[in-house]
Amino acid sequence: MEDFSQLPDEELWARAASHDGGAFGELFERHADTVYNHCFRRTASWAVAEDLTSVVFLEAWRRRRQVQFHGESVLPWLLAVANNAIRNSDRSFRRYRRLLAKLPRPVAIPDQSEEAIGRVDDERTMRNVLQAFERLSPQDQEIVSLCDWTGLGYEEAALALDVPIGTVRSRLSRARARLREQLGQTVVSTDTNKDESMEGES
Amino acid sequence: MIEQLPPTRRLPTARRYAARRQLEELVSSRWAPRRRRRFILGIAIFAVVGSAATGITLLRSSPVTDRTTARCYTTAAVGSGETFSGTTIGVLGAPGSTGQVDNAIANCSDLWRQGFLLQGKSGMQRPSPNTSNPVPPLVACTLPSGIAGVFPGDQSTCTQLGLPLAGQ
Repeated sequence: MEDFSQLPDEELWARAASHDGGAFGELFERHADTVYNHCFRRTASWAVAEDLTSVVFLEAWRRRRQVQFHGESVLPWLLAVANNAIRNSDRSFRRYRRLLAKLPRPVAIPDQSEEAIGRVDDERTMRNVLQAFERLSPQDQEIVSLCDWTGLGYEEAALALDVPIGTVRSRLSRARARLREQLGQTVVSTDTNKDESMEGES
Repeated sequence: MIEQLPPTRRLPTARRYAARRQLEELVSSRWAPRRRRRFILGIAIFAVVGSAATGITLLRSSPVTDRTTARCYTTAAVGSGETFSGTTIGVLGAPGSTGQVDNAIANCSDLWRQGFLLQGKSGMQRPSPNTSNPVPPLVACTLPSGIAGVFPGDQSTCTQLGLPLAGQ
């Protein structure tokens, strides 16, 4: 079996486009967790995020001729596909319902393991965050989730949102301010240092 | 107010494995499911249309009403009146018996095989002894007179000649 782990995304994508399933499998392995966590933060459901992760890669394959890379990375484009899938989740699930039905369902057992309890807590926490977050416009939600929650840089976010970098900066600054209002004094971010420095640039 | 996002987590192992496998199969397949479905649908439509055409052909068949004689043609042409390429085979048994022409195709085949019939020739030929001659594909149509006419060709030959297939 060929070792794809050293190949850049662009090379893997080219091989996948020539129907090399293993190359696409490596892309999935490489980016599935980022897509999964991005989808969870937008939906507050690990189960929905599992399905959305599959949908994102299925949809990426369907739209493979429209792929865009940032440098050699396909991740920003995958997150753009994810945002689209989240926005149109009903349609996405309908389109791929047969394929999704073949995948193992999330186990809803009274599992007392730390992991299971943690996941339930995550969902509760995320629902609370989303209460404030969803008062933002869809555009603001997308930019905050991409830059502050998933950690994309300005350029990557610009590619994912298909807008100029300057627009990303100004839109992110505005979105953060609005979110701060919604949340009281606290900005929800995985990296508060980055948050402050980025705000300085806007 | 919530200050921290939940930690990141890995996609559960079973799901990761199954989803990856599914994607690999999908990508490896040169035919997307939708195209595959379209192909199968195309085959089904072709089969239905083919069956319908066969049904129509069968509906267009007509019984042989006069079994006292039959004609073995050597070309796919009806001719006019008694003038045609081929020969007429008669009844072996008593008048009214259907012994010979019930299976007109089988009897005409024998004449072809034995060399009595040759492509495009009228009447019975003198066969070479101890030789087996090729038998073309044969089809029985019902002639306007109600007797069977056995032509070289297939079902479409009857249609081309404007004749119904010979019914049983």
